[in-house]
Amino acid sequence: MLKQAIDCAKYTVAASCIAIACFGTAAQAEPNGTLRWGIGFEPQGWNPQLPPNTTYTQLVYEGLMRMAPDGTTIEPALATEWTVTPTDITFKLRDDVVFHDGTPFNADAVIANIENVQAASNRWREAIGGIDKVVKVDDHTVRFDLLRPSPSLPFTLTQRGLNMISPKALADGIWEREPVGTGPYVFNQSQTVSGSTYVFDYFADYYDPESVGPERVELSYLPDSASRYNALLAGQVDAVDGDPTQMPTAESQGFSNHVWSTLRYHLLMFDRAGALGDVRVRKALCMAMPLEHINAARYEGLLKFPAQRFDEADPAHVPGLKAYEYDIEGAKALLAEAGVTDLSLQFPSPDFMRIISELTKESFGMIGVDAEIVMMPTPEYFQSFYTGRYPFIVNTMTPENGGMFNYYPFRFAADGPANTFKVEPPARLEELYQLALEAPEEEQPALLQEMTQIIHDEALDCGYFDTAGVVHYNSETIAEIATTTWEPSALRYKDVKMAE
Amino acid sequence: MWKLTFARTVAAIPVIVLVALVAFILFRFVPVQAPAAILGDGATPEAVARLTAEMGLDRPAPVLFFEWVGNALRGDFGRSYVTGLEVSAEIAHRMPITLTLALGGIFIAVLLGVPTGVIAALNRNSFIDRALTGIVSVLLAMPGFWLALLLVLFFAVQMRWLPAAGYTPPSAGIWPWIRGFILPCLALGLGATANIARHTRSSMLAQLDSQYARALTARGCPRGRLVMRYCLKNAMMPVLAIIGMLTALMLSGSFVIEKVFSVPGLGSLILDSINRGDTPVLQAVVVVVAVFIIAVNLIVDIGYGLLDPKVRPE
Repeated sequence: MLKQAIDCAKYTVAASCIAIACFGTAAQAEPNGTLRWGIGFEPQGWNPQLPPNTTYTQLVYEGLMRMAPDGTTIEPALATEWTVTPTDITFKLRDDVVFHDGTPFNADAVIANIENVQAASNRWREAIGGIDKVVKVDDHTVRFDLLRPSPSLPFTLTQRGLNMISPKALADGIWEREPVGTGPYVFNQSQTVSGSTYVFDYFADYYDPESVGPERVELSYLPDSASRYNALLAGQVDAVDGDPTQMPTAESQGFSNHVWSTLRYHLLMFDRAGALGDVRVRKALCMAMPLEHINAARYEGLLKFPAQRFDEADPAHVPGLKAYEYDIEGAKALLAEAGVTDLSLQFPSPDFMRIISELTKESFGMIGVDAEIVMMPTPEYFQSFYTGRYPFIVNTMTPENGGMFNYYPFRFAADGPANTFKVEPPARLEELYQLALEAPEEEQPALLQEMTQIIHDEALDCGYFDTAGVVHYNSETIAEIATTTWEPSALRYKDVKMAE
Repeated sequence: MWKLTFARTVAAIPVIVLVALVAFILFRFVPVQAPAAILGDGATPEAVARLTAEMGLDRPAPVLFFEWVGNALRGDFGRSYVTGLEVSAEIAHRMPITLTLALGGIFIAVLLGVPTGVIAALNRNSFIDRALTGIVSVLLAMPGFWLALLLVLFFAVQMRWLPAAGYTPPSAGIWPWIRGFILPCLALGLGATANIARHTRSSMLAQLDSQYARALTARGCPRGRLVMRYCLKNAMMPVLAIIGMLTALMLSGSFVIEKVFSVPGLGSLILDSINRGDTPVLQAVVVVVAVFIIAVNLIVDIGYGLLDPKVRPE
């Protein structure tokens, strides 16, 4: 505040400038207040590559780039700019960043981190498989030399697996137990109560202090949703990870609700050569997806129903594409045309998906498809995606986020990890993908859009619905909640605005 | 007494070994195994197999079992597959919380249950007896988690006297620490209160109807002296056995209450570890809990022997 006042006095320019500089940023000049956030997830170690744990890791770590709130646009973070060519990507790095342990962030730190991921045994190694080596151009410039065109790499670099960790912590071997990043918050081990409350304090040497909202963040692990809401009612926390069905109650009790799109669910059809090998059968299932019923029963009418996998901002988006409409009679006719009379399918479901699964089973039953639900615990459910045991699942697969360059090779390519029935993709689809990989950036949209069109026409994927995440919060203590689309479990902590 | 203590202690050893073996075998069949849980969403079978090999989990089960037992005997339960923290340190952090909860629950149960049972017995078939028996029946029938929610709604949400959930360590102050335990201990202890009250009542009635009680009354022994000095002491024998059993049950009951109140004890640790396939933690917690329950039973047996010479071995 004082510094800004002096600056303004020194440069007595136009009144509007003073107004913007002094008053416009005054509210965010210094971090203030404590954000007390009740969540249902517990930290599972501090290795950002391993279990999805962004609820905690996003506080302490940052990547070279970050995802904008829209979930599609990539923003600068530790890298200020980058240049992409088919053979390399060059990054200019910020020169004012230090890790929490005082180690400077520079080209050597980037090299150490990429080498750390390349040595790991998890999916992030494959995600950056296109990188041959990282070359230090100068202290604050690095070049990634590529083995092959890797258009999905910028997206990957926004993800948790590529968060930058202090090279000293990597060398000391403590990084999986003690988080040392460059993020706006430092983990306060001494005030943390393991299994209960996790405390994070503002990092005094953070390079962009004016962008930071709360001065302190306390995450309370409250696994039971009723307990979580009771903690909000009792004033123990200011915000909780909530549920759409709780929104009217929260509102009536004086709380505010923040809603955002968290995951794009769809009908993940795996057995596209066997039980679902006929395009008419796939279309029939697409037409029998009970999206409105799911919306009414589970999401209080908050769902959105996109017609395709990616939104307008994505180059693969086809303007005007129409989703398959819910049409039981039409679906029956398609099945009859395909000569399918006794189709029986099993699909897995954890308890949290029970309503969606029951509605899907019922709707498929109405067109004569006997869909049997196999109930299982949540962790087993997520592994079941890759077993090749189930012809379809209603859910999402996060590794396919980020655009067609992630989606196609993951789901449809012959050797794709999620192509569990090893189905050959349509030849034209593969051809378009290869062409898009080699094509200059300006020619890519047309190729990617044709891919989206084929996926739609062949009903290889359909039944999209964007699930809604909800935060119930006390507006007397929190002015504004900030989230990222497609990021279900973490707030944009530093962008949260605390009430004055 | 030494003989009894020694005999019971020796008998406990094969039980602990058996528990360790059963835990080891059972957790081989947990649907979620650690490598897949660690790799999370997007874990392909190939990546899971690679990590399984890196963690040494593809070795034969007997090798893994004896390696684990050998380390456990040295007090080394290994590290959590998921968090990388030492299992013994994690248990050392969580065990006191669960014990506080269980002992707090049993303290409340004894404090309320014994006087309730005695008062009901002394006022047999009166309005007081029927009212107390009615309350006891309601408490017995009431599920612990439901009672917990009612307590939270009244004391935390409506009155804001006590926290609704979470845990405050003793380092934050003794009163905040105690405050955090009041509701979970009440939720845990009230059901047991009913149990103890019921047994105390019937045991007291048996003592009050006994020949020695009638003889003492006939000889002019004051009612208060008869109850406090003779009947209550004798009535406590079966109640002590019930308290011992309830203490062990409190431990498992506390696992549910921990979940409702989000208390980071052994219960939440074991539930989270099942979901993560974190077998080193699971095995260690099961063995530690088994040792605790065996120790409680041992103490009850010794206490019983002290009170009643007839149960001591020849």
